[in-house]
Amino acid sequence: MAKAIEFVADNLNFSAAITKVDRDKVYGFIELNVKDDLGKPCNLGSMLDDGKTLVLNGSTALKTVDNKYNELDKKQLKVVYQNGEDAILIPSSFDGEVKLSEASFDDLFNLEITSVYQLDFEDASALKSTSDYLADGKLLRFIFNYRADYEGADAILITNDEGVFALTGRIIEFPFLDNKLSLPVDSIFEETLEDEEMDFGML
Amino acid sequence: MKKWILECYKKTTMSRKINIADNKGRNAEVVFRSFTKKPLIKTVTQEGEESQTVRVLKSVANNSYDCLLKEKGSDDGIVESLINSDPEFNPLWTGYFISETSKVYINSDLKPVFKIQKTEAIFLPDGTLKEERTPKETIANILAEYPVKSAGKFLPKKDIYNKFVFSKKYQLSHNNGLTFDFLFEMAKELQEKDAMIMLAGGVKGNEPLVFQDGGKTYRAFLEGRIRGNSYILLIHLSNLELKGISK
Repeated sequence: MAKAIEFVADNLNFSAAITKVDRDKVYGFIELNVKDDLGKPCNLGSMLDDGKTLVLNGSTALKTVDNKYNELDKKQLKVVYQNGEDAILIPSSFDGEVKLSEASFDDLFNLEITSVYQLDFEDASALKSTSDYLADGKLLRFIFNYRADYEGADAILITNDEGVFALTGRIIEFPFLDNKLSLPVDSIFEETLEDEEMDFGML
Repeated sequence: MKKWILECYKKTTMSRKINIADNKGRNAEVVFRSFTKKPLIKTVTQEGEESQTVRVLKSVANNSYDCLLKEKGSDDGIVESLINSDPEFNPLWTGYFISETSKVYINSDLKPVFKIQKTEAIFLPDGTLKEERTPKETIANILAEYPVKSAGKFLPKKDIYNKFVFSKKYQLSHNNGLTFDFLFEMAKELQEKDAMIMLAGGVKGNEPLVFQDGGKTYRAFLEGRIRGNSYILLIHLSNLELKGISK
């Protein structure tokens, strides 16, 4: 079995490997074929701003430079938060235990999902006990990092008839919107008619 | 620290409009917005100077393997040329910082083409070719003559929460007092029923949503919450059911 993640909750400990689920694996995929008017196959490339120089895919590279465009050695750089404080490296979920906490339906519906993983259990009893724990709408939340980096992803464990899944992405705190545009007025028409003489001259 | 991290996650928003109808047949054009995340981190030198990432040109088409193979006739010819000179290197362009380029189709002769024919090959999950066809054109239908509306019944959240993958979210927003009432009532009804409704577009009100011409098609679900006199109304987009994959 592939490397497993050790999940730990209050009344539930289990380990499972993960397999990414995407549309290609569920529904299939589409390949676009492009040919010129002579039937020759074509590929997408780029044209530089001189209007004539062509660049094929794979012909560019990313470089890290300073504000004078001198190349910098990445090993000499450090990662900081936007306020300048040193950033903390979040370990990979495959290294050490991953703590699970309860999540709400709002957490799930606030989660903008970027990846879906199916959990693969070594034995059927572990799958069953985890599925039973997550039955009836129970959700568990954790921080997911495939590799160690500085920004972990929000993730939620969920189950259905097809298995146990980890949905990863980011939880967005949507603001409640209120109507700040108008003030409540009870009897605007009566007050206007009684208090003011209507000027039809309008000069 | 925590407050500062929350500030970094404060959203920058992009707003567009959607023509949406409620269950009473009333419709309005309202704003919808997505939430893009600001970067949490940056890389700096030891002195604290910010670094930036730029795209650099390695070679142009005339220096590519395909072009050299045409010129030299064989890999051995290319090897000989590489030993004796630098055919992969263009003194004018190698190392050039690229900002904007134009996408163009290039044929096997490494020439740009302007008249193309497109076909799509549809493959099953196991890689088997299912069919070939002319690509389908998608036309945006969120701001069309026929408003986006409910495609059917209310779907209890407890029944569908684990059926679909909601990959993209848009928040609907009012732009005046009337649309505030309109959206608030929709959110209130959805919260009271603890349900979502599937949205659809088109003349018959049964088409998936397309947000821009040539864009992907999505199934859309409307979800509402209220708190006092304020509301949240979200469109959740999905193009994937939560299904297991066999190995």
